Amino acid sequence: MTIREAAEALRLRSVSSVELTTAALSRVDRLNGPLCAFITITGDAALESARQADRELAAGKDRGPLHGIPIAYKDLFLTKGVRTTGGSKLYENFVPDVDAAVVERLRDAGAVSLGKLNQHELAYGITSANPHFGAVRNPWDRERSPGGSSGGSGAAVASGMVYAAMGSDTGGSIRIPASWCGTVGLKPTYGRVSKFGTLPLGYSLDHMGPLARSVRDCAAVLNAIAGFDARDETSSTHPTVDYVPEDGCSIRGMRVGFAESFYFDGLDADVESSVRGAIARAESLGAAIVPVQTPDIAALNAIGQVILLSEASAALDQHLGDRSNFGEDVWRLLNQGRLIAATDYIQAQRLRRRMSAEFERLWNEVDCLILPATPLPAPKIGDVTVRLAGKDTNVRMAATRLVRGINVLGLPALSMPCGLSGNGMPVGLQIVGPAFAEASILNVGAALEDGGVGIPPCPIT
Amino acid sequence: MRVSGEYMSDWEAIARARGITASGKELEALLAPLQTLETVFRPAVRDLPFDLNPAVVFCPGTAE
Repeated sequence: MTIREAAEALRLRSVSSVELTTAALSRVDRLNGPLCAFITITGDAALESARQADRELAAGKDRGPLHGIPIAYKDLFLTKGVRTTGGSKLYENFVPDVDAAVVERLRDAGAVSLGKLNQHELAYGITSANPHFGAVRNPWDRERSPGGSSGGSGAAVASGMVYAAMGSDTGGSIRIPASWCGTVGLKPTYGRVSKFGTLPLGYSLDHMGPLARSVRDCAAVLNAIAGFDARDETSSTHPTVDYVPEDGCSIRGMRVGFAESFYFDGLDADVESSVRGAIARAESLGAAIVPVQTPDIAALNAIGQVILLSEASAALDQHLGDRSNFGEDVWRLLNQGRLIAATDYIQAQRLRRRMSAEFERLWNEVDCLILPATPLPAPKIGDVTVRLAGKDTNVRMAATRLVRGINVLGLPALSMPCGLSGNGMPVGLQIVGPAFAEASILNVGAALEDGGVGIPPCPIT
Repeated sequence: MRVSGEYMSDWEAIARARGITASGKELEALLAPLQTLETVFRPAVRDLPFDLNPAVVFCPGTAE
């Protein structure tokens, strides 16, 4: 059931929020052991919120489509009175006295929080094999990674524990787990969603966004969380719109960019055929497929790496005296960041401006790009390298190769499932658009979804 | 150090100067990704116009 369907059932009184929440908690109770998706479960508070939601609906107070809907937060969103660990030993006992802006807005929209979700340590990695809180497992195959860093969010949504989950994306951390877990995930434009009350990783790269079961569900969450917040100095005053695509939305006449060079190099064969199939479907729905040449994405990725290495090490500098605080992979990245020269950080930020201008010109030719989200489906937990197009490739570098650059540009990107691999794992594509064109890319995603692009629900019970 | 006409960082010397005590395979695992990164990043920097501002700039009056 999607948020939309649950919302309709709530208003028909065929189900209550308490019933939805009880069912969700029962699923968490059954599946969290094997999947390790939650770090903290706030069952009593969730049921109290659900009772409140039911009382309000009965009294005629309707907070909108998220009213009474069970959701959860990646554990880097501050939650007043509820432990917020960032998946790190550094914050294992941190109980904030404020809520993140996103938490405030979703509570105001009536959503019911079930708790806090596991993630890659400090959101600095793509496996979600957390050394302190356990490895999150992929609901489609528990031997496989859910991706990350928002791995708990992907696993919780895919396994049906929650209707939507909040994640963050600094170099692909919403889109990678969405792709590997077979959910929809939206990284909005930088500044579209407030970062107030979140644990930072890359100050100029961090984006907050939802993962959900459908494109329209992601849009419904975006409606609740988008908008200016004076407490976040990177927050944008760009006007918000209704992001939920209309029923029967169309992409007829839209110009969809097909960036074959780089984005279709070195893909797993199942990924390539699924994404090409979705592009063909877009064409059959009336979109014009326009071959385009993107700016140098390898250079864009390198810029992103220099910026992230520098910003993450600056963010965590005060903690670097004690190696025992960190898992091995995060410790290594933080030390790498200490070696980047200030001049190179500045050069990367200058190159970023130039690349952004080059990408701007691309939007004169097309309305969006449809690209693979990840070059491979979920690898086995613990795999360090994978074989792609005949070459052994580092899993982390492969997983971030197609997504990282979009964070550097701050553009909105929607990841959605578009097929299953030969071994039954989800394959994801991403739709990338101009800054603040969330409504447009969600419209494309919804039209594709309505047009049959997608996968069956995860079979986990 | 110059590689292919570009200035390239000596990561091992920088690591030592920053007080990183790792050695052998641990040091190699730390530095190899930086070396790879450098080969893509350094050439991209070459032709930047002098008046191109970084994407992160200070805006007076907006600080907390």
